[in-house]
Amino acid sequence: MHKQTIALIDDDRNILTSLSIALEKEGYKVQTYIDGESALIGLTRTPPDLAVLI
Amino acid sequence: MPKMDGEELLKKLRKKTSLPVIFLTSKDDEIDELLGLKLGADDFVKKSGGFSIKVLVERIRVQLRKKDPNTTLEENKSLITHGRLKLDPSQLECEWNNKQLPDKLTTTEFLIVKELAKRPGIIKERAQLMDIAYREDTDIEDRTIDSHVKRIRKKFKKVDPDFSAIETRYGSGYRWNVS
Repeated sequence: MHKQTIALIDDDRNILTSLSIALEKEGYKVQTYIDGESALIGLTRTPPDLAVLI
Repeated sequence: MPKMDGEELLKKLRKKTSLPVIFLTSKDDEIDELLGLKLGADDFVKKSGGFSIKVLVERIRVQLRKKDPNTTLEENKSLITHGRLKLDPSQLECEWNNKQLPDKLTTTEFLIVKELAKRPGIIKERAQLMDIAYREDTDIEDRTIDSHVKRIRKKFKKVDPDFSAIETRYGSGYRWNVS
């Protein structure tokens, strides 16, 4: 089954890790970005199904 | 992420994509929400006062359901045209006067335009539009719709400075102008 992808953007790695674990448990695939610049490139090149700006 | 960075990213992102975006705000401040809506966020989760992952997961589900073609009626996938308006629900694209809007509508904005344009001349109350835009959300304020409509008008005005198809009916809601 196709897993939906959620992108998480935050400058705190701990938050990214804990949220990733929680969302993966819910069956989502997770992309994480540590800053706005890399997020902008990543989100346009490989668009997720939804983005969460933390 | 730092407040300015998040807002700046959202602003830049909206120029390129209509991807659903949930914004986590650090304050209970309404200003933060309004600013985020103006920049094109689809929903908010407040971080203060005990941030709940369960709430975030539920908000994610609601947003994903809105964009999932399998949860949309077949008739809703076909092109919708009304006068100068053309909507493509499968691509979330919108044309006015045969010109594509340079700033794409977000999923929430698209659903509001679609709902209004579906029944031109009929007043849609804010609460009705909220049901369409947010489906199961319970703690979204009526005024949130006002921010979305303001932003929708701004996007249409980029291709037509005289755009006035969305009429405010004070005390009740909005309607798509039949003229």
